[in-house]
Amino acid sequence: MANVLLIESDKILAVNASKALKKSGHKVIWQVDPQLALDSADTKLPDVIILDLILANRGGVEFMYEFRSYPDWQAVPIIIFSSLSPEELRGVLNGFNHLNISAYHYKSSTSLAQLSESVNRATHAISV
Amino acid sequence: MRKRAASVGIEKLNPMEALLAALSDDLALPFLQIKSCLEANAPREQIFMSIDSGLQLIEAYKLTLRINKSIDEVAYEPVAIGAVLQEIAHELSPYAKKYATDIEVNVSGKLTPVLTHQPSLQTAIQILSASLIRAQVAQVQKKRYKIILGAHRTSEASISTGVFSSIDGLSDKTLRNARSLTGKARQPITALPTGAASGVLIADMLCSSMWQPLRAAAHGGMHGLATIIPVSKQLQFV
Repeated sequence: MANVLLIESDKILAVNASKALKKSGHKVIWQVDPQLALDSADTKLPDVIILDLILANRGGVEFMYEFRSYPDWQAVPIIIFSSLSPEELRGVLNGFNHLNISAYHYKSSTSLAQLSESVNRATHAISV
Repeated sequence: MRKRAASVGIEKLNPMEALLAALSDDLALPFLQIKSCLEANAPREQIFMSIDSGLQLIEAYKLTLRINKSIDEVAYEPVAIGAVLQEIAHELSPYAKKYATDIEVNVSGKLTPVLTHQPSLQTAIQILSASLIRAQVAQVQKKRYKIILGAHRTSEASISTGVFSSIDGLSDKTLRNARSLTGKARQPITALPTGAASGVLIADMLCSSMWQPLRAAAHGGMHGLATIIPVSKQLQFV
């Protein structure tokens, strides 16, 4: 079981994703605001982050840079779950290499089962 | 040189094409909601609500297109703004409930009916409300949210009506930027997440065609977006 911090702007998508993740045995904390997500990471100590890139006010990329700037959180896997297709981010994704992204999921072509599977893989990789 | 050519390409997008591009981005949200609802075995009414929200967006776009291209002859009629707001509140209440939002209709004083195209007014306010309901929940997490569908007289000859919420960052400057970014950016209004901006932009275009573009306004202690509708002189005596 992993503590998953889900940063997603739409409530319905967040509720459904949480349901799927809980079914796989994970505990989910949902945040819409990246700043509050950072605060909650401090107290809830997530094992995995699932991150939307387009959020209100502050972007997901900005969140990643800040999150990774703290030594304690450099190994926490970040899974991107975004409505931006990898083609739209062509050229930019390579620039994220140093942010240690575990997986990139394009919402349109990813099922919730695949997202759960990705979380399982990321947590397994940590425990090994 | 290449940079110049690229920018010319972008400028070629006419407003309706730009809006269509924004719409196609935002339409992804209801489809994603439906997909995830089916996977998570969410209640059927949730699926229907997402379908309705997508269809509303399409209908609003079609109406904006028809009015902009003057395909339909716009039929003006006396409209009581308060009644229109009540009807929108009633229709949107199941959707708002899903987002833990209470809708309040607040009409200050006794307002004269306006001579206007009722479907445009209803569609503009409805689509704007649905967008702000989603956006508000995406901005800050609370137990309950509230939006106000409001109207008040701004002068002898005009009534201001719009949607008001606790969303931060909606200003005239934000709107001006958003208009210029329509179809060119995935997040033309930075205060709003994916799936909310094109509703605001469609409402803005409808309001611009019919009355005045949306502008930042306040009502009942809340901030929001409103348009100004002129009052018919003849109807003042009805």
